[in-house]
Amino acid sequence: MAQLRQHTSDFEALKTNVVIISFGSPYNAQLWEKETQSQFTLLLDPERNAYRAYGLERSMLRSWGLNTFLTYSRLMLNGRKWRGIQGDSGQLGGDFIVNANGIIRLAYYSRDPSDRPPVSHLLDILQPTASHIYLDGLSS
Amino acid sequence: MRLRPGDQAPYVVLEDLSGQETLLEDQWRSAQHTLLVFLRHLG
Repeated sequence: MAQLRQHTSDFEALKTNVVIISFGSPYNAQLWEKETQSQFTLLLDPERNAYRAYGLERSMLRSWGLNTFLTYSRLMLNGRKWRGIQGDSGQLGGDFIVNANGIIRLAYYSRDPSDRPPVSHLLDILQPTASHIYLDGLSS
Repeated sequence: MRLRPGDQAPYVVLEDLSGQETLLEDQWRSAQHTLLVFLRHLG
């Protein structure tokens, strides 16, 4: 998220709306917004209907590997507060780029919680001359 | 089932922080592109 925030102006220049989706509670979402100072739209999916519709998987094994502990340790060292497990800790995330007609241009499925597409890849895909690119966290 | 580029994005209903329902399609129709970031959780 911090990396996305650093490129807010780039996304704006590429006429791209950034929407964050979580299944956390409204209370925790407001705390998270305040803590991260995110300027992006934050929407909630408490029943995870969107997670299922977009094919996002859950896996306890992939959710709690060494990379996850290292990521959370780094976040806490940088001032993030640990508020405990909320909801299904096995739910995995992902990133999608959708055009104005609802056609998917990127589908990236995180292999674990620390796995996100590099912002440079996202910006490349958003360039007006870019063709369809498929990135998959499991195959990279 | 996993989605791939070229697929139609699913139509889903989400909630804003006040609990009001909102259509995700309203987000992508409002811009040339929309980046959807599904978080694991807000911990």
